[in-house]
Amino acid sequence: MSQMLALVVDDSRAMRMVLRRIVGGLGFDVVEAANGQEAMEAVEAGPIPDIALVDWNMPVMDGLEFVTAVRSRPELRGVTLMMVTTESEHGQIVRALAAGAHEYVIKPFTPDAIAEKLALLGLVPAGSAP
Amino acid sequence: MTTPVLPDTYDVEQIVGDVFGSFLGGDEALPLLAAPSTGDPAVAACVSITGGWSGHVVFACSLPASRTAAALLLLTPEDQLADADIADAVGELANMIGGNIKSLLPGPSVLTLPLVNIGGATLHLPSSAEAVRLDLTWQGEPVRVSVWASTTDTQEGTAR
Repeated sequence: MSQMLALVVDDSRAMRMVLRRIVGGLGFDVVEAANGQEAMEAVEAGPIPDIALVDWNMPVMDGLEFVTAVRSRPELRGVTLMMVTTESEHGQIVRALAAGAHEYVIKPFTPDAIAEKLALLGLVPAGSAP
Repeated sequence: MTTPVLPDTYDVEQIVGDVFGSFLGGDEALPLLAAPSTGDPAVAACVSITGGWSGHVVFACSLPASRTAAALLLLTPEDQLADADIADAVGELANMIGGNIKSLLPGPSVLTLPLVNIGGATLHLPSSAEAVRLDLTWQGEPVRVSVWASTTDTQEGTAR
């Protein structure tokens, strides 16, 4: 069985490294993008990721714009979208979910919190640990 | 008009503890309260908040502390870190601390990308006044988080 692919989208290389370690430890192959535009280019170049973990505040194209762009493309309907961000206002969470994000994680997070969200999405078995 | 209540040093300490505990070594490496420092730390990162409340959150630390934090986040030996790595790591710490402080303030509001200064030059925050300052020690090095309220905003806030 081929490994699932995770796309980590964050303008901070440090945060991309943190998320790479976590989802890599859960068995995903990982590709990275530093903003929404780079992420769209990666998705269009393929392979299409199984999940994208997406920061909100980024230069060039922010996370909400990326989520909206992915959801506007029928061929990308299989991409699961998880926001991973410091933005925690209720209105922003509602906006992200309405735009098509499946899950929302607020920084700071623990590796177990990411694993639990991925399990809820059916992407890893329940109880998986990075 | 009501005056918004700013986070106090206890709130800020909790947030810093959550961020450091999650990403910089766990509970055994949490920052400790320290006597207020009079010197300006060499590395500072600022995120600005505009909206229901307007101002800035500044995360500052010594150069050794910034290098240790970057090394832990990037899993890179300290002697192989570039200034860009340190700026990235310190900026992300400011982003997380500032974002969580923003959640305690009146919204809706917008958080900017971090502005990072390495090397001791003072960050200029015009038309704002320091409202909250928390001095900590982490790994034996000084760390400071401060909240600056806009003085041109009609909702300046008071520390609680």
